[in-house]
Amino acid sequence: MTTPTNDMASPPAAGAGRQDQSVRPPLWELRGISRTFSNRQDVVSRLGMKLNLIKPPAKVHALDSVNLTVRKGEVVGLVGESGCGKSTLGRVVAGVLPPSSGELYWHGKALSTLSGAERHSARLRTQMVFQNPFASLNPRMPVSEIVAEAPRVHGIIKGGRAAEQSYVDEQLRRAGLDPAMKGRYAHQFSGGQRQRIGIARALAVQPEFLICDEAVAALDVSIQAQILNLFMDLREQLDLTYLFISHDLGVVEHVSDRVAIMYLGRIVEEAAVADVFERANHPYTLALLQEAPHIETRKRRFSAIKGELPSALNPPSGCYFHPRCPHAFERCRAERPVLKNIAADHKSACHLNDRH
Amino acid sequence: MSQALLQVEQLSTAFPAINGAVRVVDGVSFSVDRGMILGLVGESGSGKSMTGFSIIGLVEKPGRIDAGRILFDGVDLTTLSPEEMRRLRGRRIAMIFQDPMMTLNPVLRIETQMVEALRAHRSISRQEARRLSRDALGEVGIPSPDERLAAYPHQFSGGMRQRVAIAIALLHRPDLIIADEPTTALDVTIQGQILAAVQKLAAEYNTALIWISHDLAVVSHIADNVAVMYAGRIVEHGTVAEVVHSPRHPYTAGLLGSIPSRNRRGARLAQIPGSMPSPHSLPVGCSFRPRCARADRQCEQMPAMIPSGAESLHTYRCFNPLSQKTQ
Repeated sequence: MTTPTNDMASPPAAGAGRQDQSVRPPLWELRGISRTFSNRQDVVSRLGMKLNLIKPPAKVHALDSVNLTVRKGEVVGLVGESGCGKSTLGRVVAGVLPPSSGELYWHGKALSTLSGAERHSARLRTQMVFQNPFASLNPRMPVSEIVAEAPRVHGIIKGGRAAEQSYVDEQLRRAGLDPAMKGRYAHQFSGGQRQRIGIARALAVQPEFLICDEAVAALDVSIQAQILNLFMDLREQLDLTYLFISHDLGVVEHVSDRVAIMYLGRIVEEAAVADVFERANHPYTLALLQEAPHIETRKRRFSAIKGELPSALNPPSGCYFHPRCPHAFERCRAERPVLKNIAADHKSACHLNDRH
Repeated sequence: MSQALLQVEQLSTAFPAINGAVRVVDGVSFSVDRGMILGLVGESGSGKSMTGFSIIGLVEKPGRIDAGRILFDGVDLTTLSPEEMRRLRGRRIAMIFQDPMMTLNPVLRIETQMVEALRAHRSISRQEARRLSRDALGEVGIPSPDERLAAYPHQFSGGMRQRVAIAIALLHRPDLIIADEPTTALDVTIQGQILAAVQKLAAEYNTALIWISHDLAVVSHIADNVAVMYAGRIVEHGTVAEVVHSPRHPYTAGLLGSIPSRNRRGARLAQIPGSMPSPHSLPVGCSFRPRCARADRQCEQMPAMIPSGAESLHTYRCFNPLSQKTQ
């Protein structure tokens, strides 16, 4: 299965965005981003904590000092099981959730140092497509209004009512919808069409960066293929950059240039798509790849990895994966492995790499 | 042909509608032997789940089986009274659902539910039932089954809950298990664990299994035979190798082409235009006709199931099939 290549940067397939990723300027950079959640405390318990009468509430580390760079024009796939923090990461980048600590950089500048107008533009140029097209569209608005609202508010549409309508038509057509249907409401569309409406809405404010959070997970295979093709067409037409969040390795492998694997709030491996799928380093990545079903004509025996994702409320010590890892040794229990380069453009967080 | 454990013949299930009945399962035929796994594959609305519900007699009123036979161990299930069916269900035919909370009662301890299920069909003591329940939990890989018996369903994770549902399905060592998308809601590593457990148990007890799924990849791993359904009908049927390696029906081929897979990274996926028609307004003739690139005038008639080769069981429902690949 492995194809030996010395040149790690060689493009695996055709497509403009796939070459020379290292020289492309970073669009978004996450440096040491953490995000914790805890129960909201009332006045009494806050007072109790101040007086050392009550222990502070348990914290869930949804993101634990995550570093990730998304370069202009590339598609970064973010993979992990449910509860690993991948959606939280997407929301932090989209600005829906503020990080608890760490700094976001947009076009090389720290978000906190940007002026109000610049920050506004950073947020507007970053849009999100959600998993559930039933919940993410306003059921009481016609499609034309869903798509037109944001660009109107942000002054993107120049001109009157006629200009607005032709702008909406163009957005719908680009997402593969018939503009004649723009007077309808969300419930009158099928799942695939609804996802197209979500995409048209996101693209209506002319973003350069799209965060797709499980955007095809709820769709049937044949519809999923239509939407994936649409994402790839739009990327070429509009020079879009994507953060593609998914639990489906097949989908991520298909669309991504670079892939980051998350486990319990930490990125455990990050590399070019070919490196992850052909030269995976981290035991968790290897386990995921082994378990992922792909079309085969032979029956196969499943030899499952043990255990399940530990609770983020009470994570294991050291490397979070060590209780499930077949190679775990003393150091894995004691010390957190750092994400570091193991080859050109290939990062992994595993102590095994120090053992030679 | 020797008698299969389950033989479904021309099964049709219909729901009444304003303008006549709507058939959601239409002329479905297949058979499953002991120890064999049949994958029933299709997209939402293809009738795959309704086929499963029809076999186990859980089609909700006003829907009903309006044609065909379901021969289970020589007995036609469609002729049984509700009481006779109830005695069979759970004991000789079991079902696993996509959402384990459909099987589990949220306000009862696991122990209560398992003991109840056992004592419903067998006259055994409470202690004996408890022992069997504990063993069943251990078998599906639940750690410390003794303590877990006292837990409530919400205290389990999704994967563990599905294991409990599988343990309950296996309690009576049924001859046939119908599994309706049992791993769809689970993470890949947990899915792998569940598949491993099911595979092992089916082989151990020689259980026949119908695995209903939208995921051709999962089915290709565990099934012996596959039936692909579209708009209530089986459109292709054969061994996994035949259907996956050499699909003859354009829909099967389109479905295979839609799945992102190795070696095609970044390439456009072969998409099928349009979407599944509603059972209320099926096109005349072949239901796949409006989405099919190979359709012609002939397709305005409904094609029959055509055998692919002289010896093989591989059949398809198409006038303009793809050519057979030689291996």
